[in-house]
Amino acid sequence: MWEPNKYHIFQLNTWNIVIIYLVLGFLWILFSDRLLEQLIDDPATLTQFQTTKGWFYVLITALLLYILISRYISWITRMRSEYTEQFDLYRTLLEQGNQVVIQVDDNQRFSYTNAAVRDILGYEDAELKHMGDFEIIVHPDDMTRFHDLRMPYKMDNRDHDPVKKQVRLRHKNGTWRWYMMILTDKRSFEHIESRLLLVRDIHEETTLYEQLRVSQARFKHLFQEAPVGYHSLGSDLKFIDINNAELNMIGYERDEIIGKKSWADVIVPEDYPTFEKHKKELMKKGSVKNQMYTVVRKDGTRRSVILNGKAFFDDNGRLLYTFGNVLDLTEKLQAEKELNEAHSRLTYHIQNTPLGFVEWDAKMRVMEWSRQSEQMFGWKKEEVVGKLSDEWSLVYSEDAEYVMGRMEKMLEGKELRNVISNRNLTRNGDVRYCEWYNSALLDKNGNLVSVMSLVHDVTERVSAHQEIRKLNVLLEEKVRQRTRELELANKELESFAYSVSHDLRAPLRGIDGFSQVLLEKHASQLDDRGVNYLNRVRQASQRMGFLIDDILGLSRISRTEIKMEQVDLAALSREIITSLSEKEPERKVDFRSPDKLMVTGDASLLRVVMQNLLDNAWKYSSPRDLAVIEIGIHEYGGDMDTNGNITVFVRDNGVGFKMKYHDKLFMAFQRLHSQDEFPGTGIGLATVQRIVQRHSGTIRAESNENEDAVFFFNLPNKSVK
Amino acid sequence: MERHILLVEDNPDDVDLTIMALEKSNIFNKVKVARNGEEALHMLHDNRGEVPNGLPAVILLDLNMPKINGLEVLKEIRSNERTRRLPVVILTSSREEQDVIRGYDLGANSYIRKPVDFDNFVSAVRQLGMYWLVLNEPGG
Repeated sequence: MWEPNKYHIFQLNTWNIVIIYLVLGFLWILFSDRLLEQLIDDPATLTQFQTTKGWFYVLITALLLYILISRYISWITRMRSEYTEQFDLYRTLLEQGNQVVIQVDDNQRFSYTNAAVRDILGYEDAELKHMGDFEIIVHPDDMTRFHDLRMPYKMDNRDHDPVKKQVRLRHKNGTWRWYMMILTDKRSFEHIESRLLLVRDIHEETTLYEQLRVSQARFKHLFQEAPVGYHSLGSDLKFIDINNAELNMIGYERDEIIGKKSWADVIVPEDYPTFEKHKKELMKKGSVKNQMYTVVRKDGTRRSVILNGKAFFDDNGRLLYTFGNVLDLTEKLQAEKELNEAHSRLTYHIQNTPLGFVEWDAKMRVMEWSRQSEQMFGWKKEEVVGKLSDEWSLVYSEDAEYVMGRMEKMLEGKELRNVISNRNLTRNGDVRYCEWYNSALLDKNGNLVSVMSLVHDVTERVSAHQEIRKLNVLLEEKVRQRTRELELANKELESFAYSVSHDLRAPLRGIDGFSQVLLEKHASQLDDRGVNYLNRVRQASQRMGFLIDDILGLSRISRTEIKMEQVDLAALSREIITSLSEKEPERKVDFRSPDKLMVTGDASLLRVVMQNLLDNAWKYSSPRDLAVIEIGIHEYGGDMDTNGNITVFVRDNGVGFKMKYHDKLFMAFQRLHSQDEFPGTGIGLATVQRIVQRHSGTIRAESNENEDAVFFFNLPNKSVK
Repeated sequence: MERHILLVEDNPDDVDLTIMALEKSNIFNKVKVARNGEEALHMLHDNRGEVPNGLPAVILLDLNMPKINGLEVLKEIRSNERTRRLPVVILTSSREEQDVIRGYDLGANSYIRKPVDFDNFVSAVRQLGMYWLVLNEPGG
């Protein structure tokens, strides 16, 4: 290729060549003639040689001239052809290029504009030339920069560097677009011929760049502030970038990590083999997905994380860097674990409870059907799931309406839980009595999610109840029957007692009465023995009268109603003793009694008790010169009776009885003494015992024969309301 | 006219003993005897409601009788305008509380239980006769 300065060198040599030619020619003429004069003496020969030498010189010079001229012409031809080519190229570039080229002349006029003006700025060549300057289409905000651009050529700037400014110009179509304006000098041999203003449309790239800048900032923000951990590892797998979330996760400061630690430094040693495996996978496939790791925080605590990584390689397949995101799953895993445990516990309970478990959806279709439900009803889970309960006969038809009514309330949200007892049908048609414990599960908004039922098969219990009820009815019937019989017997007894008092006494009166009449009116016809016999008839009949009265009294005690009240036995006893001593004033009796002896019982019946016991005491102590009769409260070692009852005793120092007969004392008509010794009917103590028993008390007797006799009876210590 | 006693008693022994007891007590008023309740009511009223032989000074009434018992007789006596103020003494073997209460409720003037002992019986009849035939002033 031709270089411009070669041409310069050529120019300079022109004078050299001429001088060299002059010098050589002068030297040739001067020295060649002298040499010939030396060598040749003959003048003719000399003249001949001199002519030949002249021709020779002309010939040589002509040859040299030819070489020089032909070379120069050849160079000019080539130059011309090359310049033409270049000119065409530049012209094409100028006209077809994507930038506006404006030549500005010394008068600041646009002396040339290329065709791109129309495409890039939208203005016609003439319009632009008329405009003369861009100032009127420069965006006001960019005016300062535009002036900076013009400054150099105004100040006749000597700086050769082109000046570049980005300004917005108003396109012909009215929109503002970004342009790069470059002002450059056009020089020729150090002379500034003109200036060129180049205008390039950079709107797209500027916009793109701006967008890129914004999106980069956004990305940076996202990267830093995302709740997910992000990091980038270098080719040595050390951190080259890490975001805040991940720093929080692993508990380090950024400068403790960047360039200092690798991923292997923040995971537990147990994960090293996994890490090695993942490293290989990353190199081979370029990414790893959803890998579980346990990271160790700076403070030693552990977190469970999930890692996604992607690797970036250069053209030679060498690792440049990786990009990874890290999700902290510790809480989630913990919650999942707890949920799983809870779920498995619940499942265990549901499967193992003896109750049947059924879960229904909001339309009462079966969702769950436990093993026990299968056993209870005979239907397999897969046979019933998704079905409504009335699609297969689960509820006994007579109960269906009731059950549905109750369940609808629950589905409408009126009841959150209920218990329904109804009959169900098993697969083979057996009727089972079941208790359904139903509860509704609602979501946060109060919508029904599902209904859970626990089923208890109570058929056995129900039939047992029915059996018991049947037995109860039988029993009640039996009791009623017995009661009727008893009432009947009581009535019979009453009418018997009534008859006894009437019909048995009437003949006795006859016997006694007519015997008396005989004794009075017909005594003369009887001897002494006859009189005696008649008297014995009378005595016997009278005694029988007493017996009958006592029996009637005994039976009356069993029949009369007891009225509980406070009774002072001491006062009662004093009255009885007084009346006894009035009948037998000759007896010497020491009666000992507390001032008061309060008990609870029926006053008239207790009077009968004390009457009998004191009569006995009076009677059996009659052999004593000084009889001692004592009543009082018997104390057991200072305490009351364990049931809080009061035990009353009646003691006398009479003849007593043999202890071996003590159980006969209270039997009717049983007497331990003959009528001759002590008269009596043998009914008194039986009556006493009956009264005490009717007060829920007991009576017993103790005696040292011929020394004393003591009767103990206890009465409930109830206060009277 | 001498005031008589109406004895209503089904047991002939008791009739005799009662009469003997009255005699022994020196009460010699006429004793009319009705053997049962029906007869007693006949003797008190005829079919027209007239009293055939005048009203007794006192009626001694046994309770346990066939056909119409003593309490029914008493009720009838008290419900009849002419006899409702007659002194009626229940003289019976029964000492049942319900008989005593019912007797007084129906308007008996006295209730006496016949003792088995004849001496006691005589004593009771004497006092009874003295009171109702001598001391007591009859109602209209």
